[in-house]
Amino acid sequence: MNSKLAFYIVKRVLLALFTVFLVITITFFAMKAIPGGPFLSEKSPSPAVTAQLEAKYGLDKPIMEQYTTYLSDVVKFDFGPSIKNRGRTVTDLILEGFKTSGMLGLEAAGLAIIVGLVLGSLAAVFHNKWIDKIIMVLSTGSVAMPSFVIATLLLLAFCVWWPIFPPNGSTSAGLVLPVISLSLYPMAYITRLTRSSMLDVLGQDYIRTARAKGVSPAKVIFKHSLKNAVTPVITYVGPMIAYILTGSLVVESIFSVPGIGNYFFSSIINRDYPMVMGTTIFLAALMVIMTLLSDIAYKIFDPRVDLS
Amino acid sequence: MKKLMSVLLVVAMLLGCMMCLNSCGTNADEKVMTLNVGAYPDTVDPALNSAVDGATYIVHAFAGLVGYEQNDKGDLELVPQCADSLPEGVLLEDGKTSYTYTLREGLKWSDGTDLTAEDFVYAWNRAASPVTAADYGYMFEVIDGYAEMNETDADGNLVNPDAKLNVTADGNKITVVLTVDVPYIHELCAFPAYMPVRKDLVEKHGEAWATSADTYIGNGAYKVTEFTQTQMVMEKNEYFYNADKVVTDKIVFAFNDDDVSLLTNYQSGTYLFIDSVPNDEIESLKTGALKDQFFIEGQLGTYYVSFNVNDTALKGFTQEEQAKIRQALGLIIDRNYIAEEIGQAGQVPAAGFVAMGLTEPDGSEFISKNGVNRDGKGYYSVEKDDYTANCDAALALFKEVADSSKKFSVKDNKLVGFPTLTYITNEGTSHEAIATYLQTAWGAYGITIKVEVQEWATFLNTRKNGDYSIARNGWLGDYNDPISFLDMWITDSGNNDTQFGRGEHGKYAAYSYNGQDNLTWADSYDKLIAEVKSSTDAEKRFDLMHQAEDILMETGAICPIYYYTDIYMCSDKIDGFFSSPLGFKYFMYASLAE
Repeated sequence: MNSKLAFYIVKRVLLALFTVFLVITITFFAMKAIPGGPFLSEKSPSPAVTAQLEAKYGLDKPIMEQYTTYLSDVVKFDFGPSIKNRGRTVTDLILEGFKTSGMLGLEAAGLAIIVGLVLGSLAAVFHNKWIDKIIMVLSTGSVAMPSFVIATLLLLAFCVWWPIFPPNGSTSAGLVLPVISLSLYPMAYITRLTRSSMLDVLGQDYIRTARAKGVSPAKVIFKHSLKNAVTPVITYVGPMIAYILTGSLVVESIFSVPGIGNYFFSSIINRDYPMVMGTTIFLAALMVIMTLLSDIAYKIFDPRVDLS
Repeated sequence: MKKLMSVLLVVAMLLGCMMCLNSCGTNADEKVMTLNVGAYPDTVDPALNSAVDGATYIVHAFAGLVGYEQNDKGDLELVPQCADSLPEGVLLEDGKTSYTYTLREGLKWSDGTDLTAEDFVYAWNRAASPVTAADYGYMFEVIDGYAEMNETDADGNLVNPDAKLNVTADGNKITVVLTVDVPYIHELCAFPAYMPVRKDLVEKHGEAWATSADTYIGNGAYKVTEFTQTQMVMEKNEYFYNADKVVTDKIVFAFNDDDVSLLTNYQSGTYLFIDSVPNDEIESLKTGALKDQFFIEGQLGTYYVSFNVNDTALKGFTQEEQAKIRQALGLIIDRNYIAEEIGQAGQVPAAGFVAMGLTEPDGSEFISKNGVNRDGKGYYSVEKDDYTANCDAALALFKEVADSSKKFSVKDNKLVGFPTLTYITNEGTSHEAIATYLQTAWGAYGITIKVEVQEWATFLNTRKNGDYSIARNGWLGDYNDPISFLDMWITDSGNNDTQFGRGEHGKYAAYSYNGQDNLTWADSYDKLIAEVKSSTDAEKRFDLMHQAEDILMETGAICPIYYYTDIYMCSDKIDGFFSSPLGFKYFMYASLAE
């Protein structure tokens, strides 16, 4: 069984690497195919300056040579210098932005999982009572509203009407609203998932047996039910990370959070080629790794899952 | 129920922890001036910067030989900064002019080391060198030696890689030799690209010296103590020569460029200054509760429409007919409508290409003498009452072309059979609104206009390569001299988006220069600009520049819409702030009311 798991992991890692390679190749050529270049602006530099710049960033070489050079650099984790932010390397900028984005994503994911599990369990335990109904109305509302609508409403409510939080996410207090707006959707989704799988579990024979044996209600809920009900939630972690990643691009721009999302847009607009590649590879790799981890965790939590 | 309460309590505690975790690190009691002039800057290296926000950071962290200050009357004036006075030019035997600046005594960098004349010589050579590849390298064009430094052979290789600018340091004196005397040399010395930089730091860290507070050492009123992607924190520099006049201890420049977020931050009191506001809020801000904190200032720039002189859509017409068509199209534009209804920020309808705010030798405004009659009435009237007359004149021009070309006809004031033209613009609410307006205005005369909205870099590329018919365009001057608006139109200029003198237009001989008529673009405009650049007689120079603008406007290919304005909001708590026509903001002598 362990060797089967190891084989599965190796296979998935290879597949992940291949995915990242495909992402690199497609992005590289798609990026070069769009018109415009990094040195254009309302005021053009002189031909001598442009030539120097092209030589400096290797853009004067044939495209295939640029591609192979890039691939060999990436293998060494060298993403090159940013063309737009002179004097900064892509790795520097991404890591600095990711400190904020990662914090934002982690907090949002944590909040979504904890509150989602609690609310979902409450709804299941008090099935068809008023608590259940309120939770279901709220979670349906949150699932239906995209994060940018929630973000805008929160901004209006807590920054303009009742200025409790600063409207820009550059301070840590300013991250509260972005975290909430990012977490509401996955939170609601987890609530619904937990509720339905808890309801399923609570109706099982072994729960009835446990209750008949006199096991305390708390133990029945936390040990016997929740542990078994949590499996579908783990499968949702992968898609949730994807949601938070893409959602944070929008939420970051609404709350002006100095995260990685900024670069994702601006680097394309500026044709900052190394930065476009860097952010794309970084986000793709993060996504692939998270999905991989959530698949493995799924397997560990539920041995019935067939890996083949 | 107890169980429910305990679960809720746990959730509340978790949320509480998160909030606490988030709010750590902010100290509400600290008194600082938090301002915003833009997003995280591309660069704050004085040599490499070409952005207005970057320039604002640089003028606080560095001081040039010359700088700007506000006088008692509230006017902006050039004052010596690192130099002890503004020298007069000395005409040399070879016709060149030299200026010798003497440095003040005891100048120091913000880390306490001595600032020398050599630092300026190094910085200027670095900024002008094509190896540095700075956008604003051409700001050193007037200095002797620049041409040699930037000369390339057919393969694009530098001919004189060791060439240097003719700038020398002798003790505390800096002598700069200009190929020809220019009246704006002191102004250039106040420009960020002319600020001194530390050779040791640049050589040790490369371009990265300007990316971290530890190595970003300047000589200005403030020193940078924190530089992250969120903000730049500046504290008073005790070594600044004029430190006694600097009253605010700390300035925080927050990085943010989302209009809506900026305004929210301003309204909540987080930012005390913002450099832009959402376009659709302008009207309400002008009249609302904050109207005294809302400012519209003139800026050296013109928003215009450029026509491609080699437009394939008009290929069937002669160059002369094409010029008439362009002029007619320009006359139909109601510039007052665009400024008042679309721009809404006090923009001034433009009757010429060279912007407002540029000064003639006699102190009057350049635009007060523009137009073929030199009466300041421009090249067409922008008076509201004259709009109908302009449209009539446009129709008359169209009729002339219809008669001579036989390619379309004019019936009931509408053009029949006129080719469809494409107008390109980049994304942006007001750019697109102007495009729609033009489509409607020209459409009223039966001219079909296709509007194509392109993404920024694609748009720049299309426009530069001349793959368009009509394009949105804009230009901001670099210094207070009209040449900054005129030399960009010579044949080989990288900004010659209209393609003057290239392709078919290169053969078209209809321009006048030096008493001769029927000259090509290369023989007229290019030579005229060369003469402006080599002319030392100020009066003559300005007369030639007016002539250059005459030629430009005669082509109809440059169709000015309005002169730019600079919008910002500044809290009434800030006293002593000023801004320059280039859009740079100066807070170094500003104080913060309690």
